[in-house]
Parts: sequence; C-alpha cells; structure tokens
Amino acid sequence: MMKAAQARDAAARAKATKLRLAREKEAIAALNTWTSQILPNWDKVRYAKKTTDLWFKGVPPRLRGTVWARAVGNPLHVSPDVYELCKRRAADALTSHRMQRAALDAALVEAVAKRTRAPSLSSGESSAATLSGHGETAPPQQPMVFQGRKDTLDLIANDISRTFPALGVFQQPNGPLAEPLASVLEAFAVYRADMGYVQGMSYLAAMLLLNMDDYSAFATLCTMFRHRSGVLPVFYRLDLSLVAKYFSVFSTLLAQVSPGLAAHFDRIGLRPEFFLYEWFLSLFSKPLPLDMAARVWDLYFLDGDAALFRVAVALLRFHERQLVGLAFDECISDVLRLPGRIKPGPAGRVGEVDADVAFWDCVRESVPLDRDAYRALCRGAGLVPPE
Amino acid sequence: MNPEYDYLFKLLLIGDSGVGKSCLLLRFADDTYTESYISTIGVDFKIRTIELEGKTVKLQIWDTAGQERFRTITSSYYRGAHGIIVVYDVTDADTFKNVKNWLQEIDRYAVEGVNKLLVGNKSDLVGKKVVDYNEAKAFADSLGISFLETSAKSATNVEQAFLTMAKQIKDRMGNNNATQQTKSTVNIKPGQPVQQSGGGCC
Repeated sequence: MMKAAQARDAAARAKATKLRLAREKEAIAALNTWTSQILPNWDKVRYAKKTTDLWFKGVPPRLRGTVWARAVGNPLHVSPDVYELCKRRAADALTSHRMQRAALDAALVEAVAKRTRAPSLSSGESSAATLSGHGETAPPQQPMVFQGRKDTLDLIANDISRTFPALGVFQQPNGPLAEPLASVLEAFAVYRADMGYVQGMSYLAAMLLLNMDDYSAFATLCTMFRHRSGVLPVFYRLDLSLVAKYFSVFSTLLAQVSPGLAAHFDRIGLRPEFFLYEWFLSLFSKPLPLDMAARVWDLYFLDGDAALFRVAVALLRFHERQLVGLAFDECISDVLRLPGRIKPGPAGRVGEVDADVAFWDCVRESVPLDRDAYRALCRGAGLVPPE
Repeated sequence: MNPEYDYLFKLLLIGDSGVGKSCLLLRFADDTYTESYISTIGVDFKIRTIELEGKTVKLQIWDTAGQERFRTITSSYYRGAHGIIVVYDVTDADTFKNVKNWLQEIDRYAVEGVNKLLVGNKSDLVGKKVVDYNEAKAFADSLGISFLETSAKSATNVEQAFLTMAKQIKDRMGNNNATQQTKSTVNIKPGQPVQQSGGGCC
C-alpha cells in the first residue's frame, strides 16, 4: 500500500517536473521569436495570428516594456521635453502652493491667537475663509490641479509608499523607484490638469515603471488616457453615466458566459460597482498577484479595453461554483479576494494543473471576446468605444 | 431567516486619504496590522460578528477611498448605513479640519438619525501629535457625537470604537419601537447601500 502510494507520488512529481521543463523550453523559444522575428518586423507582423497567439500566452518579462510602449505608440507626440516641462511645472506648483499654505497657516494661527475664545474647529474654518476673502458659502476657487479637499499633487506624496508595498522598490526614502514614481505622477497631473492625480493612478504608473524608464512610463500613461470614452478615462473621471454603461457591458457579458452566476448576483443584489472600480482603475494590478497582473496588461496592450472585460468575467466564471451558493456578505468578501488566489507556479497538490494556466485557459475558451464582439457589446449599451 | 445573528448593522468608514481607515478595519476584522498598507481604490468591505448585550450582531463594514474625487461613488454608500465613523489623523491638522466637511457629507447623503462617531487615529505617534484631545472632544461634544482616539497599530481603542458604534445603533433601534421590527427592517436588503432612488444626487 505504502509503496504503491510512494510510486504514485514519484510519478506525479516526475510529471510535474516534466511540465515545468516544457514550460521553460517554451519560454526560451518565445523569447527568440519575439526578439528575432516579431520586434524587427513589428509593423508587418504585429497583427499576424502567429504573433497574437504568442502574445496571448504572455510577453516575455524582459521585453514587456518594449512591447507595451510599441503597442500604444506615441500618437500624442509626448517627447522627453514635454515630460521635463511637466515635471518642472509640477515642482513649481508644489513649491508656490506650499508657500501659500504656510503663509495662510501662519495668518490663521495669528488670527486665532487674537481671539479670547478657545479655538474651535468652526471658528478656525471661518477665519480661514475670511482670510482668503471668501464667505463660508463660497469655497475658495483653486487652480485645476489643486481642486479638492486635499490637493491632488499633495496626495501623490501620500500614495507613493502605499503602492505595491510588498515589493519595497517604491517605498521612501530608499526605494529606487519611489522618486521616478512621484515624478511620473506629478508630471501626469500637470499634463492632464483636467483630471489631476486620482488614487489608483499610482498603480498604473508603478506597473509601467517596473518595466520601462520614467519618460517611457509617462508617455505610455498619457497615451493610455488618450480616448475620452475609453475605460480608463471614463472610470478616472468618474463619469457616472458612462461608467453605468460600462457596468452594463460587463453584466451582459457575464450573463452570456455565466448565466447562473449572473442570476445569483441579481438575486443577492451584488452589483459590479462593488468590485469593478478597483479591478479597472488599477487594471487588475492591485487585486492580482504581480505576475498575473502583468499578463493581464499584455492582453490589454494586445486587445485594448475588451481585455479588461474578458479578465473580469473570467475571474468570476473561474470561481463560479464556489460563488453561486453564497449569501451577499460572503459572496462579496470572496469576490474581492478572488484575484489574489490565482497564483502562477505549481499549485498546492503535486501534478495539479497550475492555477494560472487553468485561469488563462478559462479566459481563452470560456470568454472569447474579440474587438468586434466587444464593440458590438458597447454599442448595445449605448457606448461609442474608441477605435 | 438568518439564525446566525440577531442584528445586522451596516457601518461606513469615511475621512481623508491616509488617516488609517483601512488599517482600523483590518485591525478590527482580522486583528492584524501592517506598516505598509495599500491605498483603497473605490470601496472595500469586511464583516465581523460580535456579541453585544447577549445578542449576536453582524457588522457589515464598508471602507471607502479618501480622495475627494471618489465622493461621487462613496456618497451612495451613506444612505444604507446605520452608523458612520469619521476618521482623522491626530498627527495631521488638515484631516481634522476636514472632519467638518465629512460631517456635511453625512447630512447631505445619509438617512436622518444615522449614528456618528468621531475617531482620531494614530494615537501611538505621541511625538507627532498636533490635534489636541480636548479640542477634538469639545468639538464632538458640541455636536453630540461620541469621540475616541485610537491606534490601529497598537490596537488601542479600536475594538471600543466599533463596539461603541454598534451599541449606539442597537440602542437607537431599541427605542424605535419593537426590536422585531428593527430586525426585519435591517435585514430586508442586506448589501444594497447604493440605491439612489429619488433625492441624493451626486
């Protein structure tokens, strides 16, 4: 009995090793194809089936920066000069703004000190309003990048260390990518003053910086936000009427792929807004393990926004059986933590198919959604998706 | 219908970015802490069941992103909340100054009579503290709101904060006619804090 079990284990281990070796061999062959055939002939073979099939399997990690940047191109002509200019403007704005604030704070302290009454929150606020020459009812008008309670440029400093903390590279003061991350985000907040910095962007910039230099990351980020009606700009503008339409695209696709789960979500009142904001705003880089997220980004740069819907629906489809029986509380808790469980590499039991391999099979087979099908879904929801 | 608990209360955590809302929730729900916490995007959610005066109370807690921009989505979570915890950072005067704005948000979007609690977090950072306990306490008193200083890091008062909130809601529900009715109103639509029928615009 024991011997038989040992023999089975050994056989399973041997099979797993064989599988791993095959994967490594495949990876080397893929790297060769990318460097010797695809990249040198980019314009010619980019849309060839052989290329897109290989692309779907994941871009070799060391080529990601190159492939992603090439995939988006630079249609806005964001030059290194533009980057430098935006960085300088951000630095100037931060300096002068902090000086203004310091002056205001000093004046405020003085004004409060003159009062005999103990300084309460409301008196502090009203004296601030008086000092800046505005009544209580009219909040001070501020330049675009400084709109909001907490100025958007100031918020960046807050978030740098809170981006991929487990990696350590973005953590101040010693993280080698902390400063580039701040620079890219500050420059972007200036370049897109209509939007400023919005929480979530730090993940996007960080993901790019893990694969390319800061100027390329800036240019790529600018290009990713190019189309007004695309998922990223719509979600970051929090344009709720368009966001609702994208939610309906998602729900339609979920109902097609996994009608049982869609019906269950309806029954318990679990709506996409409970989880899709985080998934889409970070392009899955927050919820998914990093290696997996990078593959999602590969697919995003291959297929555009369609990839996001595919991955989102596949994540739920992949866990359909465990989700379908759950009440609201348990279901939403599970959904929010699902992506973290799809880890690459050998799964727990020997010989089992890796979770990431099984997941990507699910994306490919269960959620086929090419650009045309995606555009049709969008039009059905009243959206005009970008080209 | 739900034998595992007597009450279900929905709580909401609001306050400026970086004051430690998610850390408070993590401490309360999972009893852990991490220095390197990740910023919240959109909303997060956790549950914990507690015992309160012989009753089992399930707390459904929604955690929100602090940036002003996200108000457009987080404001819709106010309506379904039974209790709202406004958090500031005792080492950052701005976050305390903004408490007033957050309270206005509650007046604007939450149901009338919703329970409120003011929490000054990061009380372990004694050397960096700039918001005086007495000032915050006086402010909370003037509005008739309970107030606590907490530390998610050292776990000081975290449990108390959530228990205080739960107790207040339970007391309010108890006063509002029969308990039975409370239970059914609370249980009707768990997890639907985002209904935006009528009024509450954004």
